Amino acid sequence: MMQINLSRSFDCFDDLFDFLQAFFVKYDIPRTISFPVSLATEEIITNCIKYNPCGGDQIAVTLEHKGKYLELSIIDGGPAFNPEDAPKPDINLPLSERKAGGLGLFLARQIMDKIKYIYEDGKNIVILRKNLEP
Amino acid sequence: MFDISITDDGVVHLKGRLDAAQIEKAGNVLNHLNRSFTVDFTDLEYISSAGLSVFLVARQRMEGTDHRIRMINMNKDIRDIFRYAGMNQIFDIE
Repeated sequence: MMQINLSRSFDCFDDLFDFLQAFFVKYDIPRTISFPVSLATEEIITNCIKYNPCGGDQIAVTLEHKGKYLELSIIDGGPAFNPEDAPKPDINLPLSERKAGGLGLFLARQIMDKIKYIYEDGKNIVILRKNLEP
Repeated sequence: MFDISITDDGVVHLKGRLDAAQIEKAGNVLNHLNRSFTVDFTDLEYISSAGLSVFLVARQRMEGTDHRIRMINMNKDIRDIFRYAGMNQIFDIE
């Protein structure tokens, strides 16, 4: 398992992507897997940065190769903050009615195989799974 | 790393990773184009929903005009993300 602690700022993204890339190289993960895992990670962390200002200084990310799948956990502090409470976007709206934002978790759900949220010991934990085999 | 540039033929070229930390840089270029334009995705490796939003805002600025945004040379992963977000309906993706 690999872990990184990120600052609560978009400035952390270089560190995040370096961390992910090191994991993908270590385990020889193909782009068909690394792309969605990177995207889902960024989307969840972006939500933490934008909507959970009371989460503390750092956001922890762990990534683990579980044989048939990768398991990613994003651990944040603060009050319970269930990303699943966010309204689902309507992707068929006419141009003028569309809003920038609100797509992150929606996309993550489509490209990952499982997303689970738990609140435990004062921590928000989002666990995402990506299967390595079809 | 992310870079955005416009070549002499007016085509916008993207390079690297368009994530949430880079949208200001992208918006500073796209939001000053008051014409139809083509975006070449050949060298763009990655885009997130924040990156999609930059293009949505640029496209909304054009509403009511004949201007269009044409997108070329997207890789499959990026094309899929535009499709999942329903953005393939509002851009000319080739």
